[in-house]
Amino acid sequence: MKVKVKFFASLTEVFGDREREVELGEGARIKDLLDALCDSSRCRQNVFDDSGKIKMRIQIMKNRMPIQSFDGISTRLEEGDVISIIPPMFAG
Amino acid sequence: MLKGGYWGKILWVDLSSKKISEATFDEAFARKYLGGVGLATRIVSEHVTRNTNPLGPGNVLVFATGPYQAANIASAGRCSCAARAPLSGYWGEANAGGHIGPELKRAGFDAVVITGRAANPVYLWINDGKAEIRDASSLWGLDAVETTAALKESVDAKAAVSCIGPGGENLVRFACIANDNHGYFGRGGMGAVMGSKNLKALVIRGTLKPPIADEGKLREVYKDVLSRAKDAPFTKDNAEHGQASAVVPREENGLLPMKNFTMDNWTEGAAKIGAPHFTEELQIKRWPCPSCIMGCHRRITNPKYFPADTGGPEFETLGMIGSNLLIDDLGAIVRANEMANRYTIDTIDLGGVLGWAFECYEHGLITKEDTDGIALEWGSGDALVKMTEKIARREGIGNLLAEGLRACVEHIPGTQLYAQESLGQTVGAHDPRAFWGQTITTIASTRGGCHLHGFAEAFDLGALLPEIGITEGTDRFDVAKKGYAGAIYQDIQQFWNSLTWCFFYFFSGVTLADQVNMLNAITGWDVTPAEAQKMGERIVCMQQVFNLNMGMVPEKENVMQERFTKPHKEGGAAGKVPPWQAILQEYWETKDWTKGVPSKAKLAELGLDKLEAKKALSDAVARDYKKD
Repeated sequence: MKVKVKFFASLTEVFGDREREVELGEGARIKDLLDALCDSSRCRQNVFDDSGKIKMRIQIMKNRMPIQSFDGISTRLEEGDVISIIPPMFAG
Repeated sequence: MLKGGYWGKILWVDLSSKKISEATFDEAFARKYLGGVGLATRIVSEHVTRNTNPLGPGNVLVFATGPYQAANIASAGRCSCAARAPLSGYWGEANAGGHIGPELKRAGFDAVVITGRAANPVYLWINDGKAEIRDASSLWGLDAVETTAALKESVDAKAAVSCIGPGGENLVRFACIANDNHGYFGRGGMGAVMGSKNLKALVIRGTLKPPIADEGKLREVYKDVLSRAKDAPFTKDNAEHGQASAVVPREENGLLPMKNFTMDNWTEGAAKIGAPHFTEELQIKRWPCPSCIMGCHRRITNPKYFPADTGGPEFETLGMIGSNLLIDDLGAIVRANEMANRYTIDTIDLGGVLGWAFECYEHGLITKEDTDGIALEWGSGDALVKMTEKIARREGIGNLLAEGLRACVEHIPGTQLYAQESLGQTVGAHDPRAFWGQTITTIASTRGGCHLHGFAEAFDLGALLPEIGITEGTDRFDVAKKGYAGAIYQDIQQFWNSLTWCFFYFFSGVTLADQVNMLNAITGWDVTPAEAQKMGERIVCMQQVFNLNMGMVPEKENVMQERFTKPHKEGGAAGKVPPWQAILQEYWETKDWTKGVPSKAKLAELGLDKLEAKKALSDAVARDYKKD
């Protein structure tokens, strides 16, 4: 299946894209998507902490809804889903 | 003995008697109140009573530096300003960038306190240990850009100029003070206090070298701090796009206010007003405060948008007079921002009162008959620009809006739902439903609705304080420790505003330990991070006592705005509402306050034994100063 990923702010530079289509196996979850996306150490450093957990400060939305409303990083993905990944923004 | 960071001198100016004097303080005083907002809190608390009219001669207006302004370091181009707030009647405080802080310190003073009221318009000229009250009759009526230019030309081209325009002169209750056309003491109506005193401007020039306890140590610490800050991603992003970079991501994650906080998505609009379009279309250049390496203030260079002689819109402005009103016309936002800066009115409260007015108009509670024919329709840039003028001039309905949100709701009863305020002050462009860490600053800030009185959104985002035990944040929708974080980040923010320091550097990797190390090199002290937090806690506690003594009833005032108690259906914060009562209770317990009232033991622990928290016995609120 294919899902669309939207990157925001500094992550557009980190991942080299504003949007990207990603091919995943059936039954894939958010954490599988992130693993597939992070194909370089720089990308991994921006998404995962030293212990391999997804950084809390990264905000992830599935179809504009926070993944906390589903199963967090275990949220299942479906064909055509749009996933947004936002780095911490500190403007005030 | 003060070894560095301070002169130990406060300039005291009574505009009624035209008496200029100096007060002095010692090291023990400095280490207790630090400077900036801490020093200002001490002074305002001592001299303002419940009978003091915020717009009367009895109010005291304080401009205060901290020890950092003695050093030529990035982040120190700041200053604090405080008084009893005309907008709320409670604690009033603003912190701003610009030249005023470093210049005041170099002029030989740590702070300037202004009392009384001049018989005619005046400005205050402060230069190398001397001060003079001068006539400003010819400047009255000029906007901030015109005033700044006139004073630089007639007094000193290198002077820092902090002044008011017609908004301050007309006592708009959310009037701000403009610093050199790009920094603003925005919140609480400090510009109205200045206007009430017939004080048009402060003009400051200093060439003295403030004392530094250990210059070598400071340079050593600062070199390391600067090298890390320079390479931080936040520094680069802030330099390139400024605060506008946050608009599009925050539309996606649900933080951005949309249609007076009622809508949950506005994707195309956000893209039109936020970066990168904002940066490219306006041909943005940096406009740094003194010594700053980020330069987040924006200078618009595209002639299509001229006149643009003041700082361009930042995130709060883009949020509050842009997305909050569904206005995606960047030109109209730039125009209204320029007018607000020239007239000196706060763009957050401008967006707040217009959000209320637009919603009243939608529901037929305000009509064209009330607005002199202006249609207050969502998305109307024309209405935004025209209403900005009316508010600054107090023309027509602008006279009501200039009184702030509480007066608006009093005028049209039953419209509290449309007024997103706390203590009468508009909340910032940070929807607390999207980041529950923002709960405390939204409902329990001592200066009223605010996004920065403890920016615990940082806790949700993992910007932590390991030096004082905060080694892990919690998810933005997890209630755990949100009240605790609300309390501690509030303390730390007041420590920062007392240094005084630009907290953006915290997000560029300058840690609390770094800040304390620089403080100690400047002052010769041995402050620990724990003591730094305690300093901040003392300042917040004093402000809370001030508010209690002004008549605040915390249980009545520290309540989540009704709009934020219902979730969005869609968007980045869909289905989420912070459990604010639990968060507030944890906040009070962390503070050792009972229902908002500091305990005697806490006051004693903070060295505030002489203060008494007089819990109000009635529902009287501080606005009863009107009866004075």
